[in-house]
Amino acid sequence: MPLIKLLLACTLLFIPAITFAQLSSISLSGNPGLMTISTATAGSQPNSVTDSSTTYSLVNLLTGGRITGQLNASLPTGVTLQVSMQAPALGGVSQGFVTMTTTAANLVTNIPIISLGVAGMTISYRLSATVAASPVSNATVQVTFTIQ
Amino acid sequence: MKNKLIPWFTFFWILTLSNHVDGATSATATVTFTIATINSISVSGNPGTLTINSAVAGSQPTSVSDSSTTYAVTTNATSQRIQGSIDTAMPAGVTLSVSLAAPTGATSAGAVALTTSPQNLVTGISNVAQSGLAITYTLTATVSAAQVTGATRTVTYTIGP
Repeated sequence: MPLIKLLLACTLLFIPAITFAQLSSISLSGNPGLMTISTATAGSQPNSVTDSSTTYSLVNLLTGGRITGQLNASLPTGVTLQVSMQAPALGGVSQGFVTMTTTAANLVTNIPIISLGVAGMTISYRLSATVAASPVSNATVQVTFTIQ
Repeated sequence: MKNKLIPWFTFFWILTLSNHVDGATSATATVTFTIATINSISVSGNPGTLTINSAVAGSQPTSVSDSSTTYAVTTNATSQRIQGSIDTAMPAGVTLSVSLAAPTGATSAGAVALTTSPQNLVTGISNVAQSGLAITYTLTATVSAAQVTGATRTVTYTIGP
């Protein structure tokens, strides 16, 4: 009997450590391709470019989960990066194209519990620049997506 | 009994020690981008027919002008200029001049006689996107210019360093 009590105590002690939040996960299919702004209609700002070649996978065990995105560093003057994430078919609300900054911003909200995981939702990146943006070659910025 | 419980105990112990399940709450993508040097210019259309058909007695023929067209320009570079040239030299005694209004921060060269060699029309153009900028064409002829009807010239405008 003492051993059973010990086992029960250990179980009650350890199980809470395995939180459902730690079981939620997100992964990406890869990086978008090189995004190049190189044209403009005379009299207008440069033409923006969009990449929708990548997707994400998701496991969510939290009611009302959300995905946020943020940059690791500010973009150069006149340059803007927006991200749009397709919501899972099982639920969630995409916020459409959201301008990325170094502060986390909601990209998908109200994600229901998706315990078995879903994959293949599209991520669209849109790069814009004004004439104030200086020419630059192969600059990089990182976008971190978080499920919470 | 004790032997049956130990494996369960071990299981939970290992599980919590690992405290980790496949997958991560965050994922990172690297976005690589290039902003190229961009120069773009366009004109709204062709000027109307320029006809020289009068003169004050004792003076050269009266020149004519057309300011009905405009141009638009975009550049993300600094210190660019607009040059103009014609495809074929004007007939003897005939001069075509062009004056372009300058975009913000730039300098217009005023009325410039066009030749088959590029001539500076606007200089010091930096980081602008503007449209509706006036173009003024002025046709001048001396009495030595032979009469001609329906002659044409193509004016080419180029923006660059």
